[in-house]
Formats: sequence, C-alpha cells, structure tokens
Amino acid sequence: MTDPVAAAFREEWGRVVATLIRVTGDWDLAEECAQEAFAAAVRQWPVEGVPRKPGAWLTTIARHRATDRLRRAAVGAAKLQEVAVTAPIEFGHDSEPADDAGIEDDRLRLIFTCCHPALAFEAQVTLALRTLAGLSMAEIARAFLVPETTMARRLGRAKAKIRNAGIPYRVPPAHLLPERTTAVLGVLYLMFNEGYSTPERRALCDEAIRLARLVAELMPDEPEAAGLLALTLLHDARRATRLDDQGDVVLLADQDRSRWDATQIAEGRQALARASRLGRLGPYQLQAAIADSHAAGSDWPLIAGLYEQLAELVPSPVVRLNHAAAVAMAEGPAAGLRLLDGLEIPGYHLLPATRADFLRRLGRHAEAAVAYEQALGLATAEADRRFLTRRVDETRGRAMQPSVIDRDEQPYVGIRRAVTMQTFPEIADRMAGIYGWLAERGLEPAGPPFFRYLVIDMDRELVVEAGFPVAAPVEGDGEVFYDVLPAGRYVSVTHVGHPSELMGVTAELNAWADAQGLRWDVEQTPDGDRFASRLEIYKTDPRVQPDMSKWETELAFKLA
Amino acid sequence: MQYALLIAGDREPTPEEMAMGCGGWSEEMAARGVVRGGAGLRPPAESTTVRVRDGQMLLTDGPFADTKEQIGGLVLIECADLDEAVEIAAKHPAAGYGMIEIRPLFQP
Repeated sequence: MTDPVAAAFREEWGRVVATLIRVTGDWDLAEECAQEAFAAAVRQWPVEGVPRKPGAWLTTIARHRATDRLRRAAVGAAKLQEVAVTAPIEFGHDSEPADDAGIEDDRLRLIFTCCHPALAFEAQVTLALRTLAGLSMAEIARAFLVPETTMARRLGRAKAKIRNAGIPYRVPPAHLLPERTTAVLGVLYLMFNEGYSTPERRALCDEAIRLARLVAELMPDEPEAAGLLALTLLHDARRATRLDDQGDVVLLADQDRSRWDATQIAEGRQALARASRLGRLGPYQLQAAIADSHAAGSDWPLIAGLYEQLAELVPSPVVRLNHAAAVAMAEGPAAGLRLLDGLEIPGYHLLPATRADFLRRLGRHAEAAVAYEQALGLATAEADRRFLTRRVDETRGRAMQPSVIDRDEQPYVGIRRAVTMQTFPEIADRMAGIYGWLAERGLEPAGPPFFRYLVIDMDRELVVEAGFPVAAPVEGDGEVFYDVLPAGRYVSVTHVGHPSELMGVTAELNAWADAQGLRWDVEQTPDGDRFASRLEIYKTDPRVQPDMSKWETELAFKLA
Repeated sequence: MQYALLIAGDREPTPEEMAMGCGGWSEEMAARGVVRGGAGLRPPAESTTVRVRDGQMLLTDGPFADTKEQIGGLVLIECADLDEAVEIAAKHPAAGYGMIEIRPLFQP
C-alpha cells in the first residue's frame, strides 16, 4: 500500500465496512468488498491521483463490487435492488456520492452491534477491532496472545451469532439507548484495561483510544463517551513510566513525571472539559478526573472526595478499596484502615495488600505480615509476588515477639498530669525537668525514662506520669513525687521505630494478649480504665540517636 | 425471526409462583401476536430418556442432562430481532426466579 491508501485505510475502513453491512446485511461480504475497494485504490490512486473524498470513493467501489457479487450469486431480488438503488451509477475520483448522510450513523450502528450484550466480551472486541478498526486477524490474534486460527474461529462464531440469532444492525431505540451506550463504553473500557494490564497486549490500548475517540465524536451529547476518552488518554499518558526495566510496577509517587505524554494529557483534559460542560457526571468522568489530578501532582483530599462520589455511583468493593487508599494518603493509614472494615473481594490480592500496607505504616507489623501473606497467596503476576515476598520478610522481621516477664518493684520519681491526646506534650515535655531535678540532688537515673498510664479514657483524658527509675528511695519535692512501680508478671514487647507508631503497637499487643487469654491488671472506673502498671519505656537516648524512626521503646503492661 | 424460549430453573416453582402462572404475560403476547406455540413441562423426575445405538434401544429414567437447571417449559415466538426476543423473555415471570434461554430456530 502507498501512503495515501494506508492513511485512508486507517481513517475510512470502518466507514466503508459499516455502510456495506447496512446495505448488504452480510458481514463477510461487506469486509471482502471493502478489501477489494482498497485493492482498487492501491492500483488507481497512484495513476489517477487521490480522490477528494477517499471514503466516498471507496464506499462507492465497494458497493459496486457488492452488486456484482450479489448478481453473480443470483441472490434474492430484493437485496440486489436495495444495493443498486443506494449505489450511484456514476463514480470516479471526482464524483461525490449524494448519500453522505447516514454514513456516520452506519459506524454507530456497527459499534452498537459489535458491543451487543448478547455477545461475549472477546467476541465484541474481536468484531470491533476487525470491522471498525480494520486490524488483520494476525494483529488481533497478537493483541490477545492467541493463535490466529483461534481468533478466526472466534470471529466466525461471532458473525454467525449476529446473523442467526437476529442481532439487529442499528442504533438502539431510545428506551434501550442509555443501557446499551453503557455497554459500548464498557467494552472499550475493558479493551483498554486488557492492554493496560498486560504489556504484551499494548496494541489494545491504542485501539481502545482510537475507538473511544470515534465514539466520543459520534455521540457528542454523551458526556460519558468523552469521559471514557479522557480516562483512557490520561492513563495511557503514563505508560512509559508505569513499569521499570524488570517489568515491575513503579508506584505513582516514584514515576518520572517528565516522561509522561504531555500531548495525551492535554487531549485528555480537553475531553474531560467537554464532558463536564454537558453537566451529567458519571463513573468515567470521575475516574478521568482522578487520573487528571494524578497528572497534576496528586491532590489526595480531592482524589478521596472523587472516589467517594464514584463509590456512590458504582457500588463496587474495588472502588471502596481505592477510596480507602486515597483517604489513607489524605488523612493517614488509620482512617484508611477503618474504611476497609467489612470489605470483601474474594480472590483479589490488592485488598489484603492494601490492608497490609496500612498496618505496616501504623507499626502493626505482625498483623501486616499476615495480611501480606494472604495477598501473596492470591497474587499471580511475578512482579507483584516479588514485591509482596519482600514485604512479608520485612514485616516479619519487625513484628513483635512479646514475652511474659517478672519485674521487681522499681522505685521512681515522676510528675503526673491529666492530659488528652492533643495536650500530651504537657507531660512529655517534663521529662527533662525530672532529669534536672535528679541532677540537682546529685542522683543518676537507674534506668531509661518512661510514661506510666494510670487512667485511660481515650474520649476524654488520660492521667499520665513521666518518670525516671531511681536506685533508692528519695524524698519528693513540689510537683516531683516518689513512688514504686509494683512487682509482678508483665507482658513486655520492644518496638523499634518511630514512637508515633506506638498506638498501633499497643493495639497489636492488646490483640496478642487477647489471643493468649492474658488479662491486664486493670480496673474499670467512672474516670476510665485504671491500670495497675502500664509503661512505655524509652530506651534510646535522643542525644545518641536523634532519628526517632530508629528509637527503641519497650511496652510493659502488668498482668492481672 | 423465530426463537424458542427455554424456561429453566434450579428448583420447582413455589406454590405462589405456580398460582401466578404467566401473570398476564400470555395474554399480552397473544395480543401482540408473537406466540407460535409452547407448553409447560412436568417435573424431570417423571421423564424418560431414549437412545438407540447399534439397533439397541436404551431407556433411562430421568432427563438427559444431569444438571441442576432443568427445563420446565418452552414457548415458540416470532418477532423482529433478538432485542425484541430479549424484551419478551425478560417480561416472563419465570425470568424473575429461574432463567430463560433464547434459542434461534433454523429459518424455514
């Protein structure tokens, strides 16, 4: 093929086939005649020049071929008549057939028929790629990673079903239109995802975008068509940075944004703006808006809000999972974790993987390790498995190993305050003061400092002491008092990491104790839970290790 | 186009569903002139399957398909296309508790 013919093929193939199917009602004949028309173009255009309207020229030739074929086959007179009536008698590269109107509708008819819900997804995509996009059987087979013969059989079966089951060749009537438009967009969306998730099937992404562009053009009043186009473009713009050289997934935050396709992003944004002007929000527009925010640097609170809207329109657990992930980015992993409560997606490794990620960020490593293992049991892609295996090892290594120990009585000096989680620094900041108080008396601490939680009412206030162990009894003075930590059996666990993770570690320790059938020495009072001895011991000297994420903290809770 | 609507389910209809019958469906379809025939079938437990191999007749008790879903009735319809057939099938009360297979007939 010379270049003008190749260009016309890409632009006009779908038009020619769509019209020929309408006038002959025969999909195979339509394709064969379209092929003959392009073969004629290869012969004639270099000699006679490219016609002004290549599509009309090609359609006219194809129609004549169809008339000839039908005449030769001596099929029913009615069919022959229709072809003859609609085909202009005179044609040439200057002729302009009078029946241009309706050609656009033919492609819409074709799209709706290819995407008829009575056809399986593979059949829908195969039909659309062959008849609308003009891909060869070999190209479609490559895109699906199946042998060409398999693909040819699939296409044959799909066409037979259209013919024999009476699938109508038309744009659906108004009462079916919304539902069927959704089906068409759904097919293109799945086609795109199919290519997006498997790098070897990339061709499917390009074709899905091309078809989405066509559908958006043919249905200018359908905001979701423009939304889908925007969505596919904004995602595809990131394709160069999604995977690293080993084929492993690169997280969004680590992707090199300078390598994103600016042209695609611009076209995607235009499509999204067009959709928004139509004033009817839908799932594709919301997803496109999310992708758009990512392209602009990921505004997590905005994205979390968009996912929330999406979850209202599409009650899918996967959407709720993504919502939780966005909330975790916007508000922290604890908020994300709450949103995962009660969520179930059988066989979907990203659910346990996401839960594991939240738990890990909360410092609840043992629970995180279990969740990562669940995810590993479900993941199939090699890259995912490598990542999850690494995380299982990491979290297992950091997971707590609590032990039950006996502690002797421990004399200490301390300061006591009633605080809330917000005013906690009021007590935390007194640690240095106690150290100074000891120094003034020529005393050395007998061990690392600690917080002792006396009364806990998370909703209101905590009564907390900051203390330093001392070797022998001393007289209290002013706000500094002297007391003794009770002897007894304690559960002890050491956390290595930032103290902000201690809430998570405590939750994990509570769960562990429950599982072991162990009970804290605690008394319920109107003021909250009164603990006999509940300690958070800061073993790292901040002067030696200023990096708090490397601190070592021991939790020691007295058992009943 | 002519189609057979094969009405199937994985259980017998409840007495209420039986009592409802076709719930006005037959009347509507008769008025539209799309029904060409049909019948309700007695339970598969009462059926007998016959096959002849090498001149030998073999009889078995029960239906030929040993699946949970069994055909409980069939209706022959004639209508414009698959979209209309789907619309007709979806209106049948059995679609609400069982399922209906729309099978095109060989065209005469």
